[in-house]
Amino acid sequence: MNKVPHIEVKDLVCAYGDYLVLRDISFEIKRAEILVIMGRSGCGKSTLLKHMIGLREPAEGKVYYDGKDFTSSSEAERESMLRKFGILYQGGALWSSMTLEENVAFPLEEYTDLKRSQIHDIVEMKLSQVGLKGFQKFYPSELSGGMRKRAGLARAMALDPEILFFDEPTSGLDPISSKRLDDLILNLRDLFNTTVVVVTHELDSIFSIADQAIMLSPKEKTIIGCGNPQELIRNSGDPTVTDFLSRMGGRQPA
Amino acid sequence: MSNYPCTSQLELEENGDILVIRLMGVWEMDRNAPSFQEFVKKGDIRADISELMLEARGLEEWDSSLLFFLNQAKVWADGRSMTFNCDCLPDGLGRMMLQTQRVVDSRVEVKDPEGHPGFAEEVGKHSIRIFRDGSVFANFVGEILLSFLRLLVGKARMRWVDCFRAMQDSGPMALPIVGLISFLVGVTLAFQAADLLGDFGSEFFTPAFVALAMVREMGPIMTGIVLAGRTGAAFASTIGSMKVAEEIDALRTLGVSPLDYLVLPRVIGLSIMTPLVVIYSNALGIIGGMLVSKVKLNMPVQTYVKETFLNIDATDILFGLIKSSVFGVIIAYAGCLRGMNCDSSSTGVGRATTSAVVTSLLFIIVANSIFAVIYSIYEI
Ligand SMILES: Nc1ncnc2c1ncn2[C@@H]1O[C@H](COP(=O)(O)OP(=O)(O)OP(=O)(O)O)[C@@H](O)[C@H]1O
Ligand SMILES: [Mg+2]
Repeated sequence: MNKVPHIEVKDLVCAYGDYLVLRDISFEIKRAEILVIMGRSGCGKSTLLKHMIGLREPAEGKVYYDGKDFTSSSEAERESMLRKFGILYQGGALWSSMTLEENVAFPLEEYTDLKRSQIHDIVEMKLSQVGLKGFQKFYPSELSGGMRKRAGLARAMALDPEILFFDEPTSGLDPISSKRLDDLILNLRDLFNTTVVVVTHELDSIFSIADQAIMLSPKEKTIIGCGNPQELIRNSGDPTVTDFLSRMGGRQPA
Repeated sequence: MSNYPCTSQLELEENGDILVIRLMGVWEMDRNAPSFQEFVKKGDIRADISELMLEARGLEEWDSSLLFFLNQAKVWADGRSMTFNCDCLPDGLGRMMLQTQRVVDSRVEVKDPEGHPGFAEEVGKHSIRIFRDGSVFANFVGEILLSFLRLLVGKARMRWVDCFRAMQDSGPMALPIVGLISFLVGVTLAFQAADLLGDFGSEFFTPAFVALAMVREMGPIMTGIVLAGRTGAAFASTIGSMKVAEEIDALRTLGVSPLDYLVLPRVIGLSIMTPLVVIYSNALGIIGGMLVSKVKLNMPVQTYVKETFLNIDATDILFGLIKSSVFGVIIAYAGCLRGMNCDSSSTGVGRATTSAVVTSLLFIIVANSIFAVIYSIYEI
């Protein structure tokens, strides 16, 4: 297998203006690995994600994909890298002036030469993967929060991306949908070798899907724990990490 | 529950160096719950007290007002390094209180709160802000131009639906209000002209006055104002809401430029549509003038029409139309700029909408003055 990590984040500093959110962020993800980013609300998980996908420029540090420098690459190179990403935003971020079908079809129309009927079929398949078959003609405003999120997921998966970024995919979903989503993520990884970066708080998800987890802390403003969650809960020296993973001691290590 | 007797809710007792506070009766927010500060101020408390103890034997009903009181008590006790003893409180109350406490404890220091800035600092900050605003305006112009170039070489992906929608909204949908306003402006102009010119016995020039004023100034300006309020505001709020919902980010990360996809169609749509609406506005203004001339000056319609066309020529009309096309671009530009720079909140969208209207009105007036200068220099 390829030795170069699929994603590498090096000495990243994230800030909004002069308000520092995160510093000294470094980690690597191998191809077909699932990384979970966790931490308390407001610690900068979404911020880190936005820096990784180039929506915000890092104050310092770099992000590499397949060993290629993403941060200082030209616009054209960046676009070709972005093509391989699928992104689910925290609020779904469906385009409100388009129906679900148009939303999911948009990336396909943009980047493939498929015929209309083919696109139609793919969209139907992707929507049924997230349990939304039959809602093609609905506008985002006519859906519930959880449904929007799932539709956003279908859109993120439309182009069979190499890397999927999920910002809290299971928040707002019922336990059954959450479980299905976890299975879907694992399947994508196993079948398509997709690398997945997931922001989540759900302990069940963390323990069932994560190969690697990193924990951010708002106080230290950096990573305070990194590794497989099963091992992290046992032998991370940091009580914050253990508390988080065991729900303040309420959950016993499996 | 309001038929409880309003008993005294607090009792104070000093027991050696322990201060005991007995909580009793009903504690409800809208029933004048006592404030700890006042309570401490009233009874003078000895300085050598080392423990604050709370009891709640006579407590009947309580809500957050009690919690608030207890928190204040704790802060007060901590401030005087007293022991705060809440062991005798009911179970739920104690737990709830610990929770409130914890939230306060885990507060993370964010930015240093800045003190009141001095006058010089305030002026400096404003200057920087104005300068920054200026560069934002200029940048956005550049971006739109680039996007337009991309469209010309066929590399931009534009959403034509948005273009047509912008045209529809600024065109057919705006006709009633533009029509009404222009008609009334025409009427007003004619009245003024008839009065003023009548003093010199030259009310015969009323049609010329109305036509020139409408075609050169009032038509474009009035249309600009209506479209700024209608269409410009709509652009700002639509794009602003898209920004808040991360829809713009979603476009960007798909490699689609929001400039090409959202801004360009609106700019193009308005720059085409505004002159067309202005023609309509001019026509209605002139009709308004005609009506007044007929009624007030008893001028036949044919004469009015003939006089009108004798006094305006193609350059006048063309000049007004070019001007209004620029106004259209300004309105779309201001609306999209404010939308794209909208703060990520619903108040942000509101502010973006307001400032889109203000910005476009300001720019329209400024542009109009520039056109007036050009006009007088070249004596068109
Ligand atoms: N656009 C912005 N401008 C300034 N500060 C911001 C902005 N967005 C986020 N922040 C700040 O950055 C910090 C991290 O925010 P972020 O949205 O990344 O948190 P999060 O970890 O994703 O939280 P949650 O789990 O609630 O989604 C917060 O303190 C927030 O105040
Ligand atoms: Mg977040």
